[in-house]
Amino acid sequence: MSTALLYSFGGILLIGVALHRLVLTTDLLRRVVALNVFAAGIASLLIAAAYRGPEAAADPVPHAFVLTGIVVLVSTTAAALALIRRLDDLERSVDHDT
Amino acid sequence: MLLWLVFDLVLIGAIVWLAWAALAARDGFEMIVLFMVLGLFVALAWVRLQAPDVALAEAAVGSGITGALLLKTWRHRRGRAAGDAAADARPSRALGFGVMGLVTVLTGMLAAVLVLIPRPAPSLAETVFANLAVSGVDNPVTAVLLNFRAYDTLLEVVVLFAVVVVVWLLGDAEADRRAPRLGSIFFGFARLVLPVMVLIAGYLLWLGGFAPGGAFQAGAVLGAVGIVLLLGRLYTPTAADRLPARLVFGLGTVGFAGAGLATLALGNAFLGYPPEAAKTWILVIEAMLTVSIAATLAGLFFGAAPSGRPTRESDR
Amino acid sequence: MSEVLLLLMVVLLLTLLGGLVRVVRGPSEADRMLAAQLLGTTTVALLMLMSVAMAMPRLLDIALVFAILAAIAVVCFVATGEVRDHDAT
Repeated sequence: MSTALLYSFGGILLIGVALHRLVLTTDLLRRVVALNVFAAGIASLLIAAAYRGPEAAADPVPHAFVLTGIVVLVSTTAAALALIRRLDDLERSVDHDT
Repeated sequence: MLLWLVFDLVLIGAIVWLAWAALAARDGFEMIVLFMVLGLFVALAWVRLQAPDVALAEAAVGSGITGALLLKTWRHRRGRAAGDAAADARPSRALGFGVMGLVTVLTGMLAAVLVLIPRPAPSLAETVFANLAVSGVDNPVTAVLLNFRAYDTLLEVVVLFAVVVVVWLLGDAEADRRAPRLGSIFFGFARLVLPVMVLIAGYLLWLGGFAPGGAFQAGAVLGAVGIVLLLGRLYTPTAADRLPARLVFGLGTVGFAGAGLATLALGNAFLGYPPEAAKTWILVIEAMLTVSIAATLAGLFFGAAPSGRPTRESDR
Repeated sequence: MSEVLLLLMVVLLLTLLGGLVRVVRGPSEADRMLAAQLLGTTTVALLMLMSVAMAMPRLLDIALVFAILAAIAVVCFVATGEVRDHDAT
């Protein structure tokens, strides 16, 4: 079995694990982490697809996609976490009022 | 070759196990630390697959900045069991099995597609390598990001800008006041390490032209400098810093788009640099992006528009 | 030569797994964080071996970034920590 295929299956398992938790968990912070794991799985798939063996240079186009994806992911994560903190502040003030 | 196979299998096994362990951890803090460790392992796997550029970005972001953001949020929710399994509503047994079944079908389909697609898959790699000479840089990934598909990168910078606007709208600068002051060990660390980090950021930026590196990796390292400054109260933003901060946040988008318009004015395509000066164009754009990305990441970490606590003059 | 390097890489990978025990079992937050730092250091060593084994000298830059950014998590851990009684002013 080729190295790329092996790592692809690893990526698929990451996607599976992350998706399972993403759907079932109700905790918001855990959902954000699951989303990040999910993205790592997809990135692994793309990078495994770009692999051309130990001697040849890998395909740079999927690498560029993943790099862009990492930036967008950290942005998304930051926005989601800001929403979580905001929600928490609001819940706190409601608790305080009652 | 057998040893490589052992290495691959152990690494992949560890990655999958870590993902499961992180997402099933009882304790929110354990989840975050395991996720940061997962970042290390994933970066190793990507190095193994000859993707050093991506591994570098993952090293800077996955285990550094995302980890810091998660920790900050977890601390913010402290006492409310954020991320703890206790905060999790137990799904019913039927729902659990249903989701498990759907996920199994989906991953099975993905695996089947992977096995069945023709190899080698169609690729643009040859086109990239054939045109590398006119791109102005020698690193093919930088060539794709800043030249062949520069439009994508421009939109990526726009995303960063939009997110920092959202985060500053949502955040409350007063929320994190009760943090401890750091002692002399921290200041010794900061004095030694922060200048080195700035140096490394510059090095990565320059490196991106011909080796793994580039604007985003450099920006992430420089952004980490900003995060340490903020955490250690070496720099406390006030309301007066809002305008300069906003200008730097916008610098990436405006500068990149401005470069695109300038290429139009020169009679080329949008972001089609004149080939003989392509390297200069790319380097200037990357330098602007580095500063802007660094400021944006630090701004995202700060998480709110600074409110100017020391002077209070801003609360007109 | 490369066989030896590969063997060392596998050994380091296994020590990484060993270090994971502390991350998972804790029990304190500091235990988990310090174990993660240990793993970061081992990863740097592993990357340096890989750079020779795979003949990719630029991997040293990745090791450098890992080494320099490992501190961020610790600083964040300490700086956002709880205010204990003795240092509350």
